[in-house]
Amino acid sequence: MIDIRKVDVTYEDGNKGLSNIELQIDKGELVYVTGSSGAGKSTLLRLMYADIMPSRGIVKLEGQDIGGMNHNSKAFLRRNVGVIFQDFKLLEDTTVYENLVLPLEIFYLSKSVIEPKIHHILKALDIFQHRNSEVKKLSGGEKQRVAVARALLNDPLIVVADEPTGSLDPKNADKIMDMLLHKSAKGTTILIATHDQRIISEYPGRVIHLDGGKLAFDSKTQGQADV
Amino acid sequence: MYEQYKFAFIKGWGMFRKDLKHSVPSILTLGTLLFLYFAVFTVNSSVSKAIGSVTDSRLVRVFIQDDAEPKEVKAKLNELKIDGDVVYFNRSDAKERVLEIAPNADNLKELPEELFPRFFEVKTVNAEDNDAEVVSLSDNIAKIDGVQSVESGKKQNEKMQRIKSISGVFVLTLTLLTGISCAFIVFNNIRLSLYRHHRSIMVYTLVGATRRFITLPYVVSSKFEATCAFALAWFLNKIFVGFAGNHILQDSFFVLTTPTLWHNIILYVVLMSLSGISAIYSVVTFLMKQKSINEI
Repeated sequence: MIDIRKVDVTYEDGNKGLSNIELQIDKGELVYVTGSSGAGKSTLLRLMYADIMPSRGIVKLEGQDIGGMNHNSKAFLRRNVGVIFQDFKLLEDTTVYENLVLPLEIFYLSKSVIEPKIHHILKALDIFQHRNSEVKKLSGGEKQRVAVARALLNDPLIVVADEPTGSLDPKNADKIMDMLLHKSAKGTTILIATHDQRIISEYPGRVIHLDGGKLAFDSKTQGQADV
Repeated sequence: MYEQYKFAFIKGWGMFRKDLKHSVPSILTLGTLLFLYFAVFTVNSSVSKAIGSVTDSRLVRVFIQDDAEPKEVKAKLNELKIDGDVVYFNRSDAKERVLEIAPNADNLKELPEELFPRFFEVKTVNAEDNDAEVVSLSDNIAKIDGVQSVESGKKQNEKMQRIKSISGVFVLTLTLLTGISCAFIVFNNIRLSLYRHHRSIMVYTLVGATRRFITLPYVVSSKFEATCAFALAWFLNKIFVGFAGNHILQDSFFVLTTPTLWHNIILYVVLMSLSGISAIYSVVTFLMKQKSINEI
């Protein structure tokens, strides 16, 4: 599913984002990526949606090597990867509905197909009543649920979440995690970068700890440990 | 494929309407530039047309002396066995002929017929490709008794053609400069629009939109803007031609005419092509500069 072999990522300014990462993640796995700020969590996640390219090594998603991808191939890859950010990255001046139309529009779907899909996911995330509200008027928890809805709308094979519960209270964080766990059970591979120990302990999954861009710990190969 | 273009058209139209208040300055600039071009184009094509009607290299005008008998001169002309038409114009015909060439010259209408010279118009049939024949014919006609002077179209024509060529080069240069300016205006306007929609472009990129998907609506939007500018320029030129014809050139033999339908179609197609290429270049270079969704 996700195959990362001997990967280095070096930024333009010379900073090393990742160093010699070797990692295989199976379909349907729930993986927590932990580590201090600058450890390389976000860099690892960005590789998953081809936002950055490895400087060395191979990253294969669903058997496709992202290294040699052109713009079109990257675009088609991203259709299978849902991304959730801590700061949501929503269009604040537009409605919830308009935000959710974007990932479906790229398939040139008709309104009669788009509308039921959006309504279904809004109901599942308990924000249907906000469908015509401007995003800027929503609370943080509601915004994050809209971001989750956008990431899950196309039933992606991989969901990448960078601190998805970082700015949420426990109740809202649990709603997000329940949804992600549900998707994982259905076969979607989930990667979550987080500092939230409560989430990690309450929602069991594989833990990968990064330190200085290197893989310091992997619960799958090294057993459980405090990280 | 049909779905893609239909989507791009609807999205581009929506984008054009939404951004219209921001696009007004660029539409006005583009419209003004095109109007100035249209005005020059109109004057130039009208001058060319006028030159074309006044000069004809195959034409020889034979002015006869006051006491000369037209019949005798005609007989002598026939002796030269000219391959073409020989038509006599008396003073009244001469006035009519002048007014035919310059239909709006109201001042000429008031001149008495006596002031117009009697002449023959000799129009050779096959001399078009051989100016030397016309010159030789003119020289022979000049030797006929009763002939006061002979005007061959050739020399006049050469002068006029030189003016036409120079003005043609001028219009061509102006066309290039106008084209480049239009392309820059469209480029900048699309670029500003891209900055306004920066966030949504990055979200589209994140969810898997191709460059083609992002670019096409901007191309459509640029074409709507260019169409508005073209319509504005066409309308202003129409007013300009009407005003000039009715007020400035009222008593002149010179007539301004708006570009023909074909000219308009060609100019519109060129403008559409330019705006499309410019919009594509603007979007693609913008997308190439974008680094990461994380940076918005």
